[in-house]
Amino acid sequence: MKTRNFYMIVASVLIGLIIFWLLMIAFSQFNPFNDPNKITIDGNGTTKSITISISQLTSGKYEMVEDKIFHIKNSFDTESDITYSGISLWSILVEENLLVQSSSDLEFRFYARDGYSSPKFLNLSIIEAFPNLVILATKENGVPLTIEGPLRSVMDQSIMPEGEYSSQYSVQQLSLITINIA
Amino acid sequence: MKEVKQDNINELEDVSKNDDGYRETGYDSIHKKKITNLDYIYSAIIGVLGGIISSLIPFSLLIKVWYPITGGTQLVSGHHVIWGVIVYGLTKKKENIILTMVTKGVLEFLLGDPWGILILFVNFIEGIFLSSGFYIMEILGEGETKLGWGIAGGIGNFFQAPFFWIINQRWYLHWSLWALAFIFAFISGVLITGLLGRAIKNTLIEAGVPTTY
Repeated sequence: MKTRNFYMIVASVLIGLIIFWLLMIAFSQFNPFNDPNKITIDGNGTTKSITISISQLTSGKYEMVEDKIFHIKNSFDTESDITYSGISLWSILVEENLLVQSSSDLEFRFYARDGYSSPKFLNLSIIEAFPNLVILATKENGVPLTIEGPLRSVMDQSIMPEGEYSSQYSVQQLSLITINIA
Repeated sequence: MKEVKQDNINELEDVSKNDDGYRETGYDSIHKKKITNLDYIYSAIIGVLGGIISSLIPFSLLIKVWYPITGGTQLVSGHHVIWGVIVYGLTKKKENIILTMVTKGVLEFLLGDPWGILILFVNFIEGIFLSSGFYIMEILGEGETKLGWGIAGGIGNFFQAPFFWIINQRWYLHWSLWALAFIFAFISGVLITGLLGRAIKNTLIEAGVPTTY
């Protein structure tokens, strides 16, 4: 019994140490303690890096999209319709004059505070062509986003490129949008 | 604790044997391996309970506040499989685990799980893994110990983490997040599925819930 308990302690300590170092690595890669009420837009496809607060986003300066139904599809082809309200991403890019080139030469990607990101960069012309179908959502079904927010990127499945799923680009706890030259 | 359980069974058997007018029920096959009506009833009740609770109560909110990195919700994922452990504790039949998990999967599907019919398959495989975990622990002589139940729970809860991360095609996420999510899934299985499930099972038996083994 003593040997058994000794092995259990050794195994527990080893697992504890592995978790500790993995956590150190993860926390050195991401900063989950960013201010949740602000979002940053940066990248070499932008004229400047800007950080905008939610109160600025909802001040009326940018185009608001109210109670729009978005068609969401996941990688198992399960589909659902969810009502979101938020700010048109394209209106922010235009209003702040952020783009260094035409949208077809640029690509964008969403990043969350918790380390998640959308799978890959997509061409920015999608957002220009469908400004009301790519939004930074603040409400889901009329209820403000809390744990999942306060901001969440939302894209309608109808505008997704072939083989991409809108659920994977619906990024909770959105904190950064990177726009690069393609 | 075992005495309480045994008394309970003996009492039922005595009543069954001594009273000529008493109609025998499934308790007659208490010491047989055949699945009894009581087994089916336990599977149905616990499976439905698990399906409703797993679907409608967002346990992940408990962890998102304290651990703000993706994959952290695996720390509480063990509650999905705890129902299989409870039913195993009451019946000691591995096929009952699978039956309970399938019942739970049907409920989750009917309650509109985002993964649709796939959630039924996931529950079925989790049941298989949990049964395998108990089988392996019995072979290793740990079938009745806390360690054995903990590791069996860990094995039962582990499957869903890599399955959903792979099906979500999260290749682009940092490798440390993958590793942490899988370790958390196993630890949650040990603590919540295995050990908490065992404690709940013991409490149920102490409270007088009849076992079927």
